[in-house]
Amino acid sequence: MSANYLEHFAASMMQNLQEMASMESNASPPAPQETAFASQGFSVIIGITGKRPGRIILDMTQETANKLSEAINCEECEEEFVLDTLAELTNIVSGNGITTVNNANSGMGLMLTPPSIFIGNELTIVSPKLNAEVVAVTTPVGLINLSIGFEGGK
Amino acid sequence: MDAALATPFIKAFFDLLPQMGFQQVKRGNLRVSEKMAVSLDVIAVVGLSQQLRGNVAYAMSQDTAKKFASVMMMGMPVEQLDEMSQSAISEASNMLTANAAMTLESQGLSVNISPPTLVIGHGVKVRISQVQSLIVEIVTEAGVIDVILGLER
Repeated sequence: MSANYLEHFAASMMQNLQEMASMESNASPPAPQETAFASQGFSVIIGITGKRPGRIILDMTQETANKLSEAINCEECEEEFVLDTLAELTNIVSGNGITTVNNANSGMGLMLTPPSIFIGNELTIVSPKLNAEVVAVTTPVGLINLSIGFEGGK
Repeated sequence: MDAALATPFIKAFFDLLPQMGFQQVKRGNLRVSEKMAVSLDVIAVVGLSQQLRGNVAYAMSQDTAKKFASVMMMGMPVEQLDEMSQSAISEASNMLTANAAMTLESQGLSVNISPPTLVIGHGVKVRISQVQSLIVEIVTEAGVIDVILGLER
């Protein structure tokens, strides 16, 4: 698997923020992530199945989630609508990234599971046995951590 | 969601928990959950793809999680939900979901599962599906485990 797969996801994230929310954003270089990390409060998780199972997490504050949803939808959003918006954004970014990884590595056959969302003040997220890396995406409405982990090796 | 889809996930507990050293496995209440619900504090979530898509989450209290991990580790005392006990809970959720996936496969539904992610908090709000989810309680000597199912064919 290409070493810079995470950059495909980060590029897709920045492009979608530009297209959907007219937001300029910057992504940090990928950094290794600890098995357990503290959530900022609002986490969307999508599982990856196939030859290299793993998971994708978009993590931000509740405030960032609300403001991002407003920027995408141009209105004050009900909680349910914020959840739908962020689930869909994660779906799109993950779908783009996974397609690029599949195209570059024949026979990988990676598929995504539907998103699940976790909201809470002091959440710890643990992915035992995964090698994960994180990109910090700086946006006008706050920091979004994009974390991707795969089983076994990088 | 189709309530019949819950059966393989319940069966997995009766197949596997006795092998892990549990003496007591009972099925508790079944209820329909709001899409967004406050969950117990320790949640292991596993995603499913292919012919059955969705998520299954195993939710329990901190106390139950510690006792559950202790039983899995041959009765070793667990004071803190440390890395090893987190790994045990995560592995159990992986085995239970894989067992259910094999049952579904034998019924002609091809299912792939993702690695588990563990979420630990207090008063965590969870939405695992865009459809209504089902919660099945499994009662063990370690306490109650809420099996939250949000699955679509």
